[in-house]
Amino acid sequence: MIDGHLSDVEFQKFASEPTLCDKSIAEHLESCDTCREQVKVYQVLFSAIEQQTRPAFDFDLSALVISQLEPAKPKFSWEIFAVYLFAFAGVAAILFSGILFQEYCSSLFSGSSTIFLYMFIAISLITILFQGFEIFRKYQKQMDTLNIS
Amino acid sequence: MKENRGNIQADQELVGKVLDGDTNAFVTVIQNTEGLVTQIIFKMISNTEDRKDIAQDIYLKAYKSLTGFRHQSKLSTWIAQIAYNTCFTYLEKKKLVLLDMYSGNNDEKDDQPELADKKLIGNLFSQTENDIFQRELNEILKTEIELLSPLHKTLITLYHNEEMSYEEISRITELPEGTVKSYLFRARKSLRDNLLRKYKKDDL
Repeated sequence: MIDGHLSDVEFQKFASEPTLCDKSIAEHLESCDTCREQVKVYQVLFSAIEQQTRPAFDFDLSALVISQLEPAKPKFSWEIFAVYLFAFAGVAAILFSGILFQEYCSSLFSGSSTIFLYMFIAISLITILFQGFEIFRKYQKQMDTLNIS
Repeated sequence: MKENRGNIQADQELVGKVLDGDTNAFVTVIQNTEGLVTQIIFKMISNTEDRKDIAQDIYLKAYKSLTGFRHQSKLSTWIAQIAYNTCFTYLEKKKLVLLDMYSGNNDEKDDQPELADKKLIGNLFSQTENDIFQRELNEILKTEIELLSPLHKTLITLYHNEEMSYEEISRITELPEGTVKSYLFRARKSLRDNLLRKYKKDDL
C-alpha cells in the first residue's frame, strides 16, 4: 500500500510502460483521483508526441548520396587469389627448373647443327600460334552460341 | 528475439551486397534508415542548409566505414549512432549547446500533483476527444518540443516516435542507460509543465 501520492517518475513510468510497473502503483491509481489525473496528463502528452508529423527532406537523399560515392573497390576473393597463386607457382617452377638444369639445357643443342636449332624454334612457334588460333576460334564459337538473337 | 535475428540476417545480406559493390543495395540502406536519420538531424540541427550537408556526410561516412560494421547492433542503430555523432560534432564546432541543464528544468523540486491545476486538467480532458483541441495541442507541443535542448528533443523522438528501447538509445547517444532515463524524465516533465503553464495562461 502506498502512502501519500505517487512521484512524477512513477506517473511517467505508468503512462509509458504500465505493464512494467509495480502492482501497488496500479492499485493506488484505482483509488486516488489526483494521481490518476496526473497519469492522464502524461498519457495525453505521450499520445500527442506520437502524433507529431515526421520531418522529411525536400530532396532525394539517396540520389544525392549515390552520386557522390566512389566506385567500390572489388572485394578480396580467395578464388582469384588461388588462381594467381597457382599461376605464380607454375612460372616459378619453370624458372627454378630452368636455373637448376641450366647446364643440361645449354648442352641440349650443343651437338646439333644451326639449321636444326632454327627448325626447332620455327616448329615451336608454329605450334604455339596454331594452339592460340584454336583457342580463339573455340572462344568465338562459344560466344556465337551464347548470342541467342 | 526471432524478429531481431531476422533483422540482423537481413542486415548482413544487405551489407554483403554493398561491400560487393552493389550501389542499389546502398540505396535500400538509405531508404530503410532515412526516416530515423532525418528525425535525429531535424531535432539536433536547426539550420536548414546545414541539415542537407550533414545528411550526405552521415551516409558517406556510413558507406566508407561499412567494412568495420560487426553486426553487434541493428544496421539502423549503427547508422543512427553515426548520425548522432556527426550532429554532435557539428554542434561542438559551432559552439552550440547540446544539453541546457536549465532549460525548462526550473521546477525540479515541484514534484507534487498540485502542480497541475485540477481545473485545467478537467478542462483538458473534457476536450480530449475534440479534434480542434487535438490539433491545437499538437501545434503547441510542436513549438514546445522545439524549445527543448537538442539532446532532450532527440531522446523524446527516439523513444516516443521511433519506439526505441533505452538500450538502443544508450547505444546511439553513447550515454549510460540510467542517464538516458534521467534525461528523458526531465524532458517529459519539462514539456508537461510548459504545456500546463501555456494552457493555464490561455485560460486566464
